[in-house]
Order: sequence, then structure tokens, then C-alpha cells
Amino acid sequence: MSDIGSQPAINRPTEAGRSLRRRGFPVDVYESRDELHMMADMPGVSPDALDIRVERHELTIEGRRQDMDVHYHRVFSLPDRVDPDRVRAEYRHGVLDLVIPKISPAEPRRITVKSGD
Amino acid sequence: MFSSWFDPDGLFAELEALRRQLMDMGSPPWGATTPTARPMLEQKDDGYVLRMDLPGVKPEELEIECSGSRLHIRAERRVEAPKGARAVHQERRGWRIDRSLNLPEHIDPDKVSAELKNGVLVLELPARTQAARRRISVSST
Repeated sequence: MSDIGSQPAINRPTEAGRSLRRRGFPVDVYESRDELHMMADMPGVSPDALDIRVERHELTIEGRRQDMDVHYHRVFSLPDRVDPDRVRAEYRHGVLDLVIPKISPAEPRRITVKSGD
Repeated sequence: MFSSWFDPDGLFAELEALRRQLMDMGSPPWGATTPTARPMLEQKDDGYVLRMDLPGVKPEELEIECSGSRLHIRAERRVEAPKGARAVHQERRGWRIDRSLNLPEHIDPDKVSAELKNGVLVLELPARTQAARRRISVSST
């Protein structure tokens, strides 16, 4: 598992006993004011063979290639400041584009202190 | 290697030559793009199928030309940050390919077809029709 944006991402150890070859894939992470973008090179996967899951703050991206026995698989841990329920995904020309909205920081609330006299 | 008497059609030699050209193409910057970036050659009854991973390449960024038995492939892939965003972590790379392949003699250059689907280029290289191959049935005792 890897933290997005902190250090080079590493794949989780693969499960034993699978005939499919599990592979990682290169990923870029970009940050704008309101969102994180993850772009992943996953050629050969049709959009319906893509599986993207977020559980707590763990993001799993999987994809099965049709033309060869390759199973893309990678797990990332998302930063706390994003909203995992609103992840959007688009797949074009073999590249997966994930948009992960940030949580807008709550306005600091001023607490007035009443004097107790 | 197979000697020529063993390979009257020269098919193994052809395949080997084609494969060697492909190996030359597979060097970085291309090789580092995806784990399966090396072009893959598949031999079929009636020719070859060549697959190359070109993730992020749009059809208009890919050019394939056939002149005589020379196949030319040009492609460019750019890695750009989405508008208003800055890179935090980068593993993907941009590259440019400008390579040509000599097609084996029994391949019909007029019948070469290409398809770019989900970031994979599939080139069909069918054999000339007159080079009809003989199927040899194997009997078991």
C-alpha cells in the first residue's frame, strides 16, 4: 500500500495461487485546489472490466486485460482530506482518470465566551 | 537456430528477424511506460498479429504507413497535468516513437490493418494468399 503523494508507491504483495499475472501499473497524482487526480496507464482493459473500490480510505484499482493474462492490481491509501464517496472515474485511450474531491475545510468557528458575572 | 534445410519457407528466420526488430523498439523510453510495453508478436496460421501498448495515445497522434514492405509507425504520447493542477507524484512518462519495420516477404503489405482500442494498437499482418500453407495432420497410434 502506498500513500498518495508522499513517496513512490509500492504494490501490496500479490496473492499466491493465482494463474493470472498480477501487475502494477504506473500512476501519476496531480493536485488542484479542490481535487486530486490520479491518472493510471491501464492499456487493454475495457471499461466494464475495471473495478475501483474505496473502503474507508483504502483505494483499490483492479482491471482485467482481455488480450492477455494480465490482471492489473494496486492499492493506495487516500489522504484524510478527501471525500472517498465522491470519487469519479473515466477511462479513455487506455488511461484511467480518477477524480477525488477534497473535503473543503470547515470555517473556523468562533466560540464566544460568556463572562459569568 | 534452425538451419535453412529445416526451414524451407524461411518462416522461422523471418519470425526471428521480425522479433529482433521489435526488441530494438522496446528500449526505453518506451519500455518503462507499462509493465507490458514490449511489443508482442503472435504467429497465426495466416500471418502475424502485433500488439503494442500505447496508453494515452489518441488515434490522431498515431500514424501508420506502409510503403513496399516497410511499415512505419509514428506515435507521440504526452503526459500533461490536468488544468489548474500540479504534479504531486509521477510515474508515467511521455515519449515519441518513430520506427520502421521490414515486413517478412510472405506478408501482404496491402492487407495490413490497424486498430487502436483501449490504448492498445493491434496490427494484423496477413500473409499473401498464394502462399497457401499445407496443414499436416498428426495421427496417433
